[in-house]
Amino acid sequence: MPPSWGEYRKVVSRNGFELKRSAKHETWVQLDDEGRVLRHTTISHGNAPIRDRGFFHRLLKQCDKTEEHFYEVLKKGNRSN
Amino acid sequence: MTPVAIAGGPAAPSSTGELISTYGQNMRYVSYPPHGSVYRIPVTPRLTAYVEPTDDGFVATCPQLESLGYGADAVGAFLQLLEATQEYLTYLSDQQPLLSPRVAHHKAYVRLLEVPVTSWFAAIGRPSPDAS
Repeated sequence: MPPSWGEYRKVVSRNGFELKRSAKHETWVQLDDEGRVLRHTTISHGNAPIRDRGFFHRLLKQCDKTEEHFYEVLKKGNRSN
Repeated sequence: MTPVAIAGGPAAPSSTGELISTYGQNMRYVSYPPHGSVYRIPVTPRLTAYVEPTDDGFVATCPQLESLGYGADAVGAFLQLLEATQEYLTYLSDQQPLLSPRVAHHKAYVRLLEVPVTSWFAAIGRPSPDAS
């Protein structure tokens, strides 16, 4: 089953990204320890699946995370819910 | 605007210029023999887009800003890249957040919001095989 935008949103949030702007898409930003922008990612509204694996891997690269980390974070989150 | 200084003048030959580029300060200079004049011309840096096919569609990336777009075809991917880039630059312009050294150069592209989006990308192509 492909990951969804909702799951991607959950994982980036748990990795310290914050929603900074919501227009046609959502702009999320990760800050460093000094509150400076370190990375950003753009998330589509809603919870549609991210079907294209190549695109999904580019998204993970944008956040400097691996697919393994992505599913680990989701699993931990599901256990604690 | 990013300032550019060009040294020249009535006596300056056109073929002996030396380009000196200092990206960190977004300044570009062309220096000619010492007796030339110096002209400062503002230049806003442009972006590059790489578009490539993936499993079910196309991905468009912008290495300068690390933006991303996806679409069923190359045009759709590029248009989404444009939207993501526009929204990120608008965030930088509106909220003027502090930028870490890793992305400090992003600030130079905020000026693109003042020009038509159709001129933002100077080049669109496929990434080289060596690109990660």
